Amino acid sequence: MNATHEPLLAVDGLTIDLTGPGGQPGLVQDVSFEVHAGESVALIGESGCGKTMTAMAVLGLLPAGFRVAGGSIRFQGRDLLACPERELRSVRGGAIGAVFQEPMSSLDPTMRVGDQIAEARRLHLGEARKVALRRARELLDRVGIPNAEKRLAAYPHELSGGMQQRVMIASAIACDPQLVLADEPTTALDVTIQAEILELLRDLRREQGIAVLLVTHDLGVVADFCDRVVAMYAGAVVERSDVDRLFGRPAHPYTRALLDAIPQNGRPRTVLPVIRGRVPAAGQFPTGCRFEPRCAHGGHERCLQPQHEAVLPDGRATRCARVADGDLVLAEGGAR
Amino acid sequence: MTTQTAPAGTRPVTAGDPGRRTSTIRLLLRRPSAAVAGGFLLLLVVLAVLAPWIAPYDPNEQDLSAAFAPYSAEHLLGGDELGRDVASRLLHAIRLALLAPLISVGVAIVLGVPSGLWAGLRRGLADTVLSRIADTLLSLPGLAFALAIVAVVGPGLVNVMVALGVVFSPTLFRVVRGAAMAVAEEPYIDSSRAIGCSTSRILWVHVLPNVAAPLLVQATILMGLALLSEAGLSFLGLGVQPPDSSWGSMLRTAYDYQFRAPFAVLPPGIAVVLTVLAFNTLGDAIRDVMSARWRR
Amino acid sequence: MTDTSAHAAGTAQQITGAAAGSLVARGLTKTFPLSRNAFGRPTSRLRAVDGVDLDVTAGTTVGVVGESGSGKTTLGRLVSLLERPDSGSIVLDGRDVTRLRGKGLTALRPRLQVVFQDPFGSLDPTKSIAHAVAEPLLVHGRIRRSQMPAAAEELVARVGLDPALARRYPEQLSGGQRQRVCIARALALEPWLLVADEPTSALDLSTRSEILNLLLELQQDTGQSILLISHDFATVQHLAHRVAVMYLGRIVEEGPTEEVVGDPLHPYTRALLSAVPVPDPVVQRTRRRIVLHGETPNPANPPTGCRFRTRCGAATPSCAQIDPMPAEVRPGHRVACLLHSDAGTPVSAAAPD
Repeated sequence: MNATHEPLLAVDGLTIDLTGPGGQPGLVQDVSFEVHAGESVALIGESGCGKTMTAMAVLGLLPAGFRVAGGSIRFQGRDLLACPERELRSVRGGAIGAVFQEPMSSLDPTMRVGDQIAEARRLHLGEARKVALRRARELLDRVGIPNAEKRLAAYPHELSGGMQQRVMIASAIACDPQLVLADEPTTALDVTIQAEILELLRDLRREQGIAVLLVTHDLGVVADFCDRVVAMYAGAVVERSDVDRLFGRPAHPYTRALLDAIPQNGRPRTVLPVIRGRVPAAGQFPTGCRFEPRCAHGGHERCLQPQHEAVLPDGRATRCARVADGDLVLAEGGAR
Repeated sequence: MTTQTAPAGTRPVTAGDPGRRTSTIRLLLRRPSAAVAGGFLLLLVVLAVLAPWIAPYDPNEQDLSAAFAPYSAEHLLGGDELGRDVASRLLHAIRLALLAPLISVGVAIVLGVPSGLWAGLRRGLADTVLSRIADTLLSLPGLAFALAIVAVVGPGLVNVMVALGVVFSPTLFRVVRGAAMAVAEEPYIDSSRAIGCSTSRILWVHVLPNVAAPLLVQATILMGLALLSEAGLSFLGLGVQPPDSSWGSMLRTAYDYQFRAPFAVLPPGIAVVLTVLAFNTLGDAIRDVMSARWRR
Repeated sequence: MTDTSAHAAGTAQQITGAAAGSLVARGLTKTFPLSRNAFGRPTSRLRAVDGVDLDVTAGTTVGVVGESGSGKTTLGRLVSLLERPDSGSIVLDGRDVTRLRGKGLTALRPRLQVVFQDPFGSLDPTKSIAHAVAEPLLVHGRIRRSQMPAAAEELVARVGLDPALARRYPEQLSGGQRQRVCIARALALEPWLLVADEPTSALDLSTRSEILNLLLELQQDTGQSILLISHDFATVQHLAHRVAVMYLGRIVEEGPTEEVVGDPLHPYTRALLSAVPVPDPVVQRTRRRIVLHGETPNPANPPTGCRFRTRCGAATPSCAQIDPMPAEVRPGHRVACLLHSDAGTPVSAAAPD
């Protein structure tokens, strides 16, 4: 797929513990995936599945109480977990840009938009304010904000949600990053605005070769935007696949069930398949397959063993032992 | 941040006791500071009830040979200027020390809470009028205002404490009104209207319990403040009248004779400080526990 | 089930009301003050809902779709009688309920219930689940306080939850469970019309399908009408018989769901539908996206004439001159767009407003 075989970002065996009372060792368990230069990878799953924790670990921004217990995160060949904080800071906001869900709470309300974008360049590239502001103006143009010159002096609250998210993206790409990590960047936005933002990210990928790691729960956005998918459930990666095969022939009962739960165009007012039970709370993960209690194909004796990731002949990876050796064959066909 | 940390928030069922939520009291008692403060106040209540039986002497029995007696086995906390047993007087005064704040905070609650709930939920003209009244009361210096009321209705403990209650009421009104305004915006209030709850049901059943946390915090702080004010006013001779004693009036006399018996200010002084501290500590703990409980 | 019992059920429903749960809203307008002068008089107003007509036939589901600022939530609050319209009327089962207040309003409440968007905020955190679901019955004097636990267990079971949950508190439930509780609370009084404002948007994908199934089953069991308000076309598409699309306080298109989704006529509906990504990469790649440009106009200062013209690819100069009116372009399918009908009022006539 790529000229260079070395991936841009390689997360390998990442394990995160939730410490303290009611903690969960292995809140995120043995997560591995790669992002190559210029590609777009989706990290999907329901709330509580550990996708944001994984993204935060990549940025080195785990909240208090969460601790990386194992694994490695290699970016451009460098292990970020072994990096001193100073070096990490130069990566974060520099070579890795970040966009979060709520633009309003991610932007400093007391700082002019121009200065916020310029700040990244001044910090990481040591540019003078004037030079950095000129670049900020270009960036605002780049992300499609009309009247860029005027908007430089605006405060975040003077902009609409869509415009704020564009400003976030402008500051994320301010230092010409190789990778943009976007955590639910469009969840708080209207669908027509979402379409614009996705269009913008698509342009950035095409024109600047920026890779995107998109954390989302919206399968429509995944189908629209991503090349490959990493599906997580209860802290573990259950399936890794390219997007076409994930939607066409899922390799894990959980992804199959997620696709089935989407309301289908052709059959309105019919009962939708549901996933029984609830996502287990941290501290109460089953010891065997973490999805087993809710799985339509559960109850098998092999489901009670801890599951390991297996790579299928066609390159997909699944964490279902029964799918891996052909014991269980899931239905084909996408959401519709 | 997104909902990834949700497991911690939506983990209601503890392994041992499914389905039962821990009561607020129990949560409170898990905090050492709250347990100590609550225990101390409970001890005061017990002592107040048992005072007639456990006090070694009649609190008003004079024994001039024991005047200004130092701490001893006979008079644990010494004797006062008339030779009355300080320990006995202190024990008997607990009743007043607890009753006086209860009266004033009770008056403040009666005046401040219903009006605050009403103003916070309905806004509009009622709110404007009530808020102006509260602002006016708040702008007067509290103790001076209480003194003015006492000047009109005459001295005496009950009068003083009721006057203090009037002084405290705008504070409670403000707290309740602010909290009720926030609660009124909550979807569950709309939901109550949608099922057809009357305004008074919404006020008492749905708004009041949800403003209980700040209300209780403020009330406990006011309890401490009332005790202090009572001591102050009795110190000035406006509160409790002789021969009854309160901690404040005991401080007063101890202060008068501070050169002859410097140790005499300690028992009532420490009693006041500890009790006020207990009220405030309890208030802080209630705030912490309740705000943690009802945060989603 | 035999024919006779099915027939009996049908008659029973006819007896409860010839058209139980029908809603006719005409010319609904609601404004909110934006700024006030020194005397507290509003100096400018936001038209959240501007002259909306909406019909819900008894026993059917009507979806209202729109983005933020479209006024769909305000419309829902008007129909639920939580807000009073500035003008217009709401007729429920042939009775004008617009100006009801006090006892009359309380007596009407059982027929009209609401499920709110936020299952976390719409349950009183100090009350048990049993209290939440049985309170409507208590308030309307249908049960005594001592009967609450039993009634609550029955209601909780009806929405597919373990009756033992009735003793718990909202904080102990998951989002999906809370939304079921909210639905149980709304259904306790057996309403004829249920207004559901974004009932699934705070929920996860797998939970969403559970709630959609529940609403569907309940409607099939009891035949109540549902007004479903959502920003999510997929949800509305799945449940609604008819759909109304709102933009800046107006309904721009309204018709049978398959027709509106399959062949949208208003440029905004088209753009909205094309913006919803289809969860199928193969299909999604071949779809033509209509990416709208420009900002959503400020609802306080909407464009003259057609409100969508500033973002519309098909706008003509006359769109600024004429304020289009919804007109029936196909049987039962109304569109407010000059491309499809000439209906409208010249802007100058509407200006002194």
